[in-house]
Amino acid sequence: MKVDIGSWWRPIAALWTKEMRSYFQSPIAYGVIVVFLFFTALWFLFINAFVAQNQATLRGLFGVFPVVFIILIPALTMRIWAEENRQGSAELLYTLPVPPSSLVLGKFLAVTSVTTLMILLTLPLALTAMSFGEFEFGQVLGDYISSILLAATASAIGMYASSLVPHQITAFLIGVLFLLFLTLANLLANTLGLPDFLASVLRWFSLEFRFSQLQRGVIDSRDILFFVWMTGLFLYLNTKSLVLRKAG
Amino acid sequence: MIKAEHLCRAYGNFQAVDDVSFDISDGQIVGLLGPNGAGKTTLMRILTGYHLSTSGNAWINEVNVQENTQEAQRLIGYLPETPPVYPELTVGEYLEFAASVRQLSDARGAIDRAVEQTDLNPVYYKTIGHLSKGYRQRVGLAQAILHDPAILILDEPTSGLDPNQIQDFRNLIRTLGRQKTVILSTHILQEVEALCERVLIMHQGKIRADGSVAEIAKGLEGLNRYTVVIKGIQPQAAASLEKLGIWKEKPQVLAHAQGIEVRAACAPNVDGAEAIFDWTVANGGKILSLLPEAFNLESIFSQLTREVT
Repeated sequence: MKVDIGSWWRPIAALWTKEMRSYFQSPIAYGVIVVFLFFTALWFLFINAFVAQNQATLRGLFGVFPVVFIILIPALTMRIWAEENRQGSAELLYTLPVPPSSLVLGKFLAVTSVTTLMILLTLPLALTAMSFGEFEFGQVLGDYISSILLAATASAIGMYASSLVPHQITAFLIGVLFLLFLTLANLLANTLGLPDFLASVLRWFSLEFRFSQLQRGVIDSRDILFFVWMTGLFLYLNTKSLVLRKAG
Repeated sequence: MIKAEHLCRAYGNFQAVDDVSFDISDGQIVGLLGPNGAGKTTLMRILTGYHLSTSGNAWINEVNVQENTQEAQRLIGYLPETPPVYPELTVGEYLEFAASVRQLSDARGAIDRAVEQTDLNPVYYKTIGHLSKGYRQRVGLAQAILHDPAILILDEPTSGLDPNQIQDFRNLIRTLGRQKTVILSTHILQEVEALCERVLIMHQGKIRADGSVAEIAKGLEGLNRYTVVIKGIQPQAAASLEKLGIWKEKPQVLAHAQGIEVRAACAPNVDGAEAIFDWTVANGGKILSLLPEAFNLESIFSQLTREVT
């Protein structure tokens, strides 16, 4: 029999398609997206009181994303590996002739597609707000790019949490804990009165700090690289935990 | 060809698979038989690359499973104990997923063939979560044969099926077994007798017997067992029976409504039936029934797996 090695991306694309079907044939993705849009709109218009502030800024909208993601992204990622184990489909997934890195990448691209869609669905709200004043286009573009990057990093972290434990709820809680710490690390750094060295390490790791840097409209490649690097790190750890699962 | 050499797998202190070696040549249907917890599933998971072995090696058609896992996995069709399905997908979507991950050149043709063989046409557009256990099992099997693998590894393939479905399933496996090497695990003895030319009996992680049913039976000692019902003799009078000197183990004498019931195993080289008959006549009893225990898989199985450590 002729063995066709094929191309590296086809299994990834196949897994992406399957994952997208799973997201949108069950209530998870819809639920998360609706809660996200509802909450961010409510926050932006009423709590942040965009109209009353009389400032041409969308910071009130994007500023709340890191906190919202702490809960919503683990809700989206908790099932990614845990559910495979629970329903037994893991035995198909891990015995298909595909390297673990492709499985991780396919699932990551799918969840990132969902979060990107979710973030882009705030466009009507943003565009409506923008019609009230003079907004800088570059600033808004930066806001969107940084939000999508932040969501991707948070997804990689949540996915890794899902690979660590067999149950969704535990995976959710671990994901929330990871994100809570990584998001608010700069808050800890500022309030705990830590030595400068420790404080700067915490700030360096803080998703919220990096995100707010990008939000200022200063697109620093170091901040972008930080998100790419963090995402890569957690995807790598995820691959390792899939390999370790075979032995453990 | 499937080959295992000194495979071991431990979970903490528990030795699930303990020094297992065998060699299965092409075109054989082999039954892996053993009580629950014998290590069958673990062994199959090692062969499919789902688990790593703690030590030892396995080969699928000369490909080392541990070293070239994906290459080996291309040759294998695997049906785990729980059908590995995604309940939110339809049967068609599920098979398309499996076909495209495996990068089959003629995915459509492969899916059609697998659907045909497993008789899934009526539910092709249905959501898997809404299907019965029998259909899910077939969806799992369709996935396993999709890429026309040389090796089929089936873990308890007929569990949860009704008798008609079991019949269909066995016919299908028999058909597939003409071109493929099949290893199937079960704790249903009739299944092995109906399907397999060779049996591996597993117990406590070890292979206890390997061969055809007849070969295994021949190799076992003490299978010369009888159950005898004797009329007109009281249990107290049976002491001299125990002294006959033909027994492999001390005979069990039970009270019976009309006399006694004796369960005994003779050494393989004595004619136990004759000795029991003579003793009965000498003691003024009458034999109501004398049943030699047949050389069936059931007795072999219980003998090999009864001991507990």
